[in-house]
Amino acid sequence: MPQITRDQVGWLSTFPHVAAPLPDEWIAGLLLRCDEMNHRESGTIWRYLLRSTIHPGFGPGSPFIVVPESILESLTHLLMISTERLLSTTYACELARLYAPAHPHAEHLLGHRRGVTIPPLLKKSIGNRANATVVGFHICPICIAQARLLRRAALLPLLKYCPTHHVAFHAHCTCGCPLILFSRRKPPFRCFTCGLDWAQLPHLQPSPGEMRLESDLWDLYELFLEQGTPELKASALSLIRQYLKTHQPLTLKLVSGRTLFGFTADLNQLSLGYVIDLLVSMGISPKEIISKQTM
Amino acid sequence: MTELPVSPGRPPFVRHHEFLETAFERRFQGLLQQAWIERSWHVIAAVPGSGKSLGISDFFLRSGAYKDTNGTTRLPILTIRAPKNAAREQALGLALSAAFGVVPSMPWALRRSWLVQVLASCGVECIVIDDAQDLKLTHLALLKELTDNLAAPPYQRHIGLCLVAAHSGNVIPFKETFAGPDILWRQFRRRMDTEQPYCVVLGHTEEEIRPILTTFEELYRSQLPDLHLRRWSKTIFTWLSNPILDPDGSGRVTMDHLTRLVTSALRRAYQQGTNDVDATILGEVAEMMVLRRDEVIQIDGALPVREVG
Repeated sequence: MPQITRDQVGWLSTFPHVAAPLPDEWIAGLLLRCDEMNHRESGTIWRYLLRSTIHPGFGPGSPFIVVPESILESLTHLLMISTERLLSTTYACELARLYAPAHPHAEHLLGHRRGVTIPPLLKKSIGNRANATVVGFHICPICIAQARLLRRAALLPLLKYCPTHHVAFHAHCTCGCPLILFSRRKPPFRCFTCGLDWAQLPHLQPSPGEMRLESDLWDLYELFLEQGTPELKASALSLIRQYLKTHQPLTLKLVSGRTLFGFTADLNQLSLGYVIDLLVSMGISPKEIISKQTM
Repeated sequence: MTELPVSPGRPPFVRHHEFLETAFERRFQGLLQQAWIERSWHVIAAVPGSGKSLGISDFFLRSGAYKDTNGTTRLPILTIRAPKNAAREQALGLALSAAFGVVPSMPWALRRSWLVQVLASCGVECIVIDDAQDLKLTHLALLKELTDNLAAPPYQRHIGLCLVAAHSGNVIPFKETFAGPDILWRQFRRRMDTEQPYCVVLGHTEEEIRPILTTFEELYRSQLPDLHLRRWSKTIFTWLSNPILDPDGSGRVTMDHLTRLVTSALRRAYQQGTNDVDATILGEVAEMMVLRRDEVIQIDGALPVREVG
């Protein structure tokens, strides 16, 4: 394990307790873990980073899929870890590869967001704890219990179960309140209302049908995020076009619950989440995409 | 003061700043070590220029402090300098917090309890406060509060405390304060070490100067090949224990005075192109330190060129 000793300059420019990202850890989870290690309330380090850096167009409501360089650079000094390791806590590299030459953006994964909707309950809550509401934020209680880990995988649209532990993600506490990523004056990894540790949320198993669907979604995400290139995406979109030409459905009910009436959009502008929604709904497998690309 | 001519072809004189484990440092660090091991509380005093701060710094660097990226931080010895011109307890709290690294701001009420948590989680075993003569009563009360909270459940950690102060004459810092009738000071006094609560660490004797001069010979051998300082130990001791440099009449020599005398003399000898110091050079420097130490120098015209080092 790399260490910082007292005679190094890094001692005074790092937090009292420093953490390196765990495999597949999400940057917001890393920040929460640092808060917990340093005995600080939830979101302390996040707010510190927001205050101490310049990051135009980024702030409360960010989905933490792509994080500005200024924040990453500040965090590399505060935790004494490389930028590469920090980048691996976001999907910036994967999206940059998939959507080259465009600059990676959260919309490449989630699609166009119509602004952050803050539930009325949170609007009324004390202080501005709703500042860090991440749309669709959910957690796996086993990941939290085992390593205080928030995985990047929990960011992927449509997934409802943890790909590692196969239990349902929780977006709400058992008390009914939504889980808030960073809540002021509350310890990290706990419900801001009842104080329940997220690790104690129930473990809900998927049905066989849900299991199959989750597996299909996860396989496609793995393919695009690990080996994804614009060419691979083009092959997938070509298969989608082919499906629509062959089947000519009047309407297609997608996995996400949306309905596809027509397909006239600029295909390169589609988000990965939407592309995977289409692929799974049409029953197109990773194998078919790869063989299409090879052809 | 006129600058001596530099011998042509010689590079500038290089001054060494290495920490030397002198007799004073062995005595001083021995006390710090004892406080660390036994978790005892001491007031440690020595005259200014003895080498307390350097000793604390060296002791701290050898204490095995580290931060691991798995979240483990070990800081067995927490050393800080007492806040200056800041009587509020927050000033000491901030100084203690800063020793751990970057700490995002928080209200003082929160920081009090945070300090206890972080002292425990980083495994602090001894707190050493340099320039402790600047501590105010509020600071001492905070120290007692923090250490008491650490000693109580759930942490149950007893930690050592060394208040390292500069002193003069026969006055021992804090002795009168802790002897006061207030409950707080009686409690503070009760926590002090039984056998050595107040310690004065003395400077160097003539015998102790000799090995230091030997070390200086080794350090500067490359610049002054024939350097033989040991033969001047008696003379140097006599000069440096002069009442002007030793106003308390301790009959001891501080490391600061010794280093100043030696390095100034060596620089002069080097600039004159010689390979050793002689009585004249040493005498000139000693005279400057003892008799002309408060002399006002008139600076006029072009500034003399001074060698680096």
